[in-house]
Amino acid sequence: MKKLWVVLTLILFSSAAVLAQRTIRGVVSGANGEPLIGANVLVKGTSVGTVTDLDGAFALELPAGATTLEVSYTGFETLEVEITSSNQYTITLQEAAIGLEEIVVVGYGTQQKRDVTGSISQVKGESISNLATPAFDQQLAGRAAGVQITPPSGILGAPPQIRIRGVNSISSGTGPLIVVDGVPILSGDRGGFTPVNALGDINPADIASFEILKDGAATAIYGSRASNGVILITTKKGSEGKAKFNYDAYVGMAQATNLFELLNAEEFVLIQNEKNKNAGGTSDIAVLQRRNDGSIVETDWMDVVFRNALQQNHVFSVNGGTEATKYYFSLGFSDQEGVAVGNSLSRYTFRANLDQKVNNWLKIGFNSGVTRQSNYGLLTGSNNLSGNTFGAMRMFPNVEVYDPNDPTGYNLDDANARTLGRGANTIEIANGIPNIRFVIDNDRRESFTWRILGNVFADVNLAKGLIFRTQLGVDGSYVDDLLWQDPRHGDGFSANGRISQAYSPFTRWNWQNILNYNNKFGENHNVGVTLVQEHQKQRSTFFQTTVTDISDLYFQENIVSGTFANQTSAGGISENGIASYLGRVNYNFANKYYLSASIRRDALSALPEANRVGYFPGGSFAWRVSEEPFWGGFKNVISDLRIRGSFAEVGNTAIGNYPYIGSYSSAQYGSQNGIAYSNFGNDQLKWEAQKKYDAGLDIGLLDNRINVSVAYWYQDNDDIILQAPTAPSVGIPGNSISQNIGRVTNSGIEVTLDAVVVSTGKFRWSSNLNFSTQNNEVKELVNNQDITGEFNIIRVGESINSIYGFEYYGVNPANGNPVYYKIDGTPVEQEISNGQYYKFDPNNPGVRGEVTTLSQTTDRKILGSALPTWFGGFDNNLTFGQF
Amino acid sequence: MNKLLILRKSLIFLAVFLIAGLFPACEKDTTDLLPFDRLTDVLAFDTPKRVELSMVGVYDAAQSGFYAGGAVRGYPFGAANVEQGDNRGEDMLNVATFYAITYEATYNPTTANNDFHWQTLYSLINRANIVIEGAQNAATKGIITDAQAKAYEGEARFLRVLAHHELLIHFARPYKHTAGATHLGVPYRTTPVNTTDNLNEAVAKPRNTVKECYDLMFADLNFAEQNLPEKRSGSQQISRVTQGAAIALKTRLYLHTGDWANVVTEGNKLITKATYKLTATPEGPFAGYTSNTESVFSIENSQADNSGVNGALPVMYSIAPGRLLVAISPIIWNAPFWDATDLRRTQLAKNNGRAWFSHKYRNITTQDDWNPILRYAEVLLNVAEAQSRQGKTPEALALLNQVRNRAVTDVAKQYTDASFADAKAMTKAILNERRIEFLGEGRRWADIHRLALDPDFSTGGIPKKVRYNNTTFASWSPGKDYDANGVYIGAAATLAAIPYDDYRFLWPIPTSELNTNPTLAAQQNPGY
Repeated sequence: MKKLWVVLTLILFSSAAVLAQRTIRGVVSGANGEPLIGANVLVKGTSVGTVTDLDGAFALELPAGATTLEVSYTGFETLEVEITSSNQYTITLQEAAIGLEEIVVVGYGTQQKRDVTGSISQVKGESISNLATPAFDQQLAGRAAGVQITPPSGILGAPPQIRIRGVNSISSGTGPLIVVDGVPILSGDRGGFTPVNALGDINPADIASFEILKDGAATAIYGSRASNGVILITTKKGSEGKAKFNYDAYVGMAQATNLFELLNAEEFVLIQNEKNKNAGGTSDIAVLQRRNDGSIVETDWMDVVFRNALQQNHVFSVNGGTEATKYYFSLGFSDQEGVAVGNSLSRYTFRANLDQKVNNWLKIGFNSGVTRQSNYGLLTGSNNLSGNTFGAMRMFPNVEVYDPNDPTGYNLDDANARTLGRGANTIEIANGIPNIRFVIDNDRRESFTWRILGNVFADVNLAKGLIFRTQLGVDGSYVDDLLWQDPRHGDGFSANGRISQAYSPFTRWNWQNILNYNNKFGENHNVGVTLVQEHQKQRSTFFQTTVTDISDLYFQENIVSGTFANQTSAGGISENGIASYLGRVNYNFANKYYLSASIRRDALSALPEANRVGYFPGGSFAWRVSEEPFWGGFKNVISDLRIRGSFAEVGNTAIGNYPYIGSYSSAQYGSQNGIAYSNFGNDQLKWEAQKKYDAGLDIGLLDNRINVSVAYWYQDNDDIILQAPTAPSVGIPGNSISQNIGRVTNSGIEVTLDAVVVSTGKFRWSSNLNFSTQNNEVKELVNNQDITGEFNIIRVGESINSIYGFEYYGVNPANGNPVYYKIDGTPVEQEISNGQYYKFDPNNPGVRGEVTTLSQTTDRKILGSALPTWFGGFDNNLTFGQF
Repeated sequence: MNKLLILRKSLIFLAVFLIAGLFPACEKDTTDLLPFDRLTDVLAFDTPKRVELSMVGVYDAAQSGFYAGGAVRGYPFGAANVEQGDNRGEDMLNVATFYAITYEATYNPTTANNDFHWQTLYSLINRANIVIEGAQNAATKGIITDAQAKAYEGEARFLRVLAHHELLIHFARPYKHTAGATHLGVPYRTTPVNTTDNLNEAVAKPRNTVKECYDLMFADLNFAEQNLPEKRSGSQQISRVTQGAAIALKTRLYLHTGDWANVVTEGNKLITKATYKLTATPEGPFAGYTSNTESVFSIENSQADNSGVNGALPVMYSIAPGRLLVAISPIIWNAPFWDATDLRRTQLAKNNGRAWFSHKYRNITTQDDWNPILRYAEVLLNVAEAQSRQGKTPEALALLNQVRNRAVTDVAKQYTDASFADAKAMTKAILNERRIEFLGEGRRWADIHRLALDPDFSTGGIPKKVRYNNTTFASWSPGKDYDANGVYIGAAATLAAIPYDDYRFLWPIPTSELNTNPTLAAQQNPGY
């Protein structure tokens, strides 16, 4: 009864008030039009006020007698606006002299750049949009301190290696988590027969900004997935105003450099005959071939397999909107040739991003991208007889590429049609190596991908400063692979033609509920709280059919019923899921003292039930020294100075899908189905734990025209899940066991310098210089036992995958045999003809020493680190006027 | 108005909490995931069908073990035992660089061939031991009968012997190397390694002596003989192990220990039972590899599951469209003891106008020829040799002729008592016959190995070999380039012989093992 009274009273009061009041609305934005979120709008002289929402919009019921609005926002000059009879206000704030005004996307929210206490590198989309690359990841090379991008090959679809602050695991994944508009997405190679970069599905022109989260404070919010850093990608959104149409295009040319210099025809003939003679041959095997006009047949096979490649790119976009509706649409088309003959890529992208404000408490929208990527590749492995570079190096330089008399038109051997034509040489090429140009022109390795990437969301304004968001994201990648091997020559020769087709769908669902609270208490207490629930589940399947003995090479576009004699099929499935809760609190006092803390709880399907849940805390602080009263006088020179530090414990989920389960997989024996022990289980398996430490200094000089950022970081990766190698003679599947044994540390210094060098009228020249060092050390292994590869070693006390081998002395001048050092420093020569080792005396190279050994186990040593000790980038942007 | 606002806000809050409240409920759905593509170890032996599937999995390890980069190249018994066994000998000829390391003996502890042979043989051994344990447990639980468990155990123990013996002929000196065969063999593994405890135990185990290895092998084979079925249905008569296979393997192993009497005893079990019979023509076991009277045990390959384009015997050994990587050497082709009219020259060899190649494996496109492991012809020749060694020449001659006369059909050229001056001459003829009969089946190395210290029939080590690049098609001609003593004197044989006491007579224990096994790291074969 009492309650009813209260309600009734409230209604009465409200009704009375309505008569005297009016509501005004408005939008607060920065000078370049971006909405300011959380700006304070206050009726001057009262405590009546509100905070702008995600679109920078506000609605305020004016009390009687209100005349002026006071609009303030951290990093901007406070503005007073006169209240007129209008009910609609567009308010533009000017940036304050101090501070980096930009908004930075952090996990599950945004922050002003000047308030960020973690180590985050921001790369703006426009700064790299003019680079011609197949995917955005290549464009990040050299853009940000601590971020290392290494392209693996010249093939367009091959995903580059991305390493943020070192190599942080031994057996598990070492690439960063990549998040697009809040949805963690798939990265890596998706192709079956030719590489397909999953990140190539994103049109670089659609990207508004990248935020690269590096230290604990920034990444802890991603908990178990954060040990290799996080890259957040925000796609372009519409902005209020008339539709703006934009068309961007480029045409470029790519060229392969540093190609091998091969023997020419005459050198080849000389060397081959000499080799043959030395190996006990009794007659010449290589002979120069002459055409009818007497000219020597000579082919530079590098020119046959590499080319100057044409690349073109077109993007058409439109964006605009009203106060309620904002949209961004884009269409992209890219057509790129690779420098390797036979390699090309075409990509069509479509993106539609839409925000709809339904009313003053509800906003809904979606971000969506659909991409069709077609990759045309070829074999490039150094172990493949049909690999392009391997082939080019092995082809005889004294024979022709083509032969008009051969039914195929290519120079194939008359006696053995599976190999390159021998020309005038007396023997055919070894190992049945095919004419590489035939293979490149006729065999096909193709991959066609549909990618759907997007989310739908609803933002609900629950109360002042309190916003609830629910967001459902999807990442779908649907790959169709085709392999065709021509029956006439090359890899399809023995099988009389082969087609293999695979379909590999991947679907990931991600659902997030986010509660964000931002408010200012009193003059100086700024508080931000974020609470999140997140569930993610993915399923990856494939099936593949291979057919051989093709009736006619006409039937090569797709498997066609009845055109083949033999068929085989394969398939597989795997799933992965993660369920999480997390919370974060940011607090700052007067933009001077900052504290931030977060904790995340993750449950991962890939771990045994007992160890499935992990907690990942993080914390950071910052002190803006330049805000202190005592700084005053220095402000003219050092306009901003901030000291910051952070710590976090994070994890790594890239550990496979079921590493802990002892299991029996299919094991077919001819026509008989079987199963066999396939994984040595480990029910003790737990999270890889990483401790991240970071300390930094941010300095703004001359009104922040020059910004310098220096950071020292240290990452200690413990409990690394190691594919601990086991002795082959015990016969454990894969000769390894997944165990949490292993520790690797990384440390380094990062320096970033941004400067506006010249800014006069229309001309502007800005520079970015970044420099990083890294130091990697393996601290623990299983029984501290070396993990030795063919050319690399993982050894305690050394940097991971150090280069390992015999120390080379040189060539024995007397006979051309290679000479190496034993571990004790004595030189030994290897007699090429029988593979035996003999002691070598540099003073008497012609005298054969006594028989000795050169041991793979005891005479090899570490020759160097496989990781760069420093890297960096220097980037200049010159703009003149507005085009 | 405010009432509406409050109501609305309450509803929004309610909706938000409902949405958020769904989460904990579905966490199990998200994180409790078991694989769909494999059985967990608790399920692998819990039905009779699954025990059977696990048994087949042991054969899979024999047929298609792993190679570098996850490829399948027929290690150890899908094809590689044949390719390596032939290329270590002189009768088959390496054409390109594919088998050059083996052919020219330039291997070292990191060479892929010997490394993966070692690795996959031990992988096979562990799978066999795991199935023995699994089958025994299943019998204890009453899932299968005791007799079924014993039959599975026999099958697994046979395959374990096959693997250990293959290891012995490549990584250890022959039985006769020391008086009591007390020199180093290989670790003989009889317990499964599927827990951390038995892993540590296995790594601590040093190499057994050769004597110990042979004793264990005979124990395994005796068990197998007692518990294996004599017959199996359909093609499994050949592709799965039978009692006959266990006996046949014993005749081979007793030849290696020089126990002639036992070769005869074991061989006679099969000869009297007449379970097996030579096919009418020499190509019988190859043309009809899935079903014939002669094959005792072969490793099955199918079109879907074989050693692939880089391993399958038909691809490696055949003329186009095969890859002609291994030819028949003029050393055996021209040998005076191989009659020019022998059917094995016409039925089981082909030429491409440049060299002669084997025609035993014929399905180049589908790559599904089976790999013959034991044939009745071998049992006959094993017993023939043992009889002849014991001076029982009439018995020996009868057995030899059984094999030889189906190929040498011209009566004038068939052997009679008069063909041989003494028992030694007959033994020599039997050994020569093995080179012809098993050409391209990988048996040559095993014979070079076991005969290396034989006073009369040793090759003295790895024999000299022909280089393909030195040959022309004219190099292949029966009788050509042989001197009066039956020594090949062709100029093409420029690859020098390697004496028995050279370290290269043995393969090195691979680096992959030395790096992870301190026990064996201290027991590397000398010279490496």
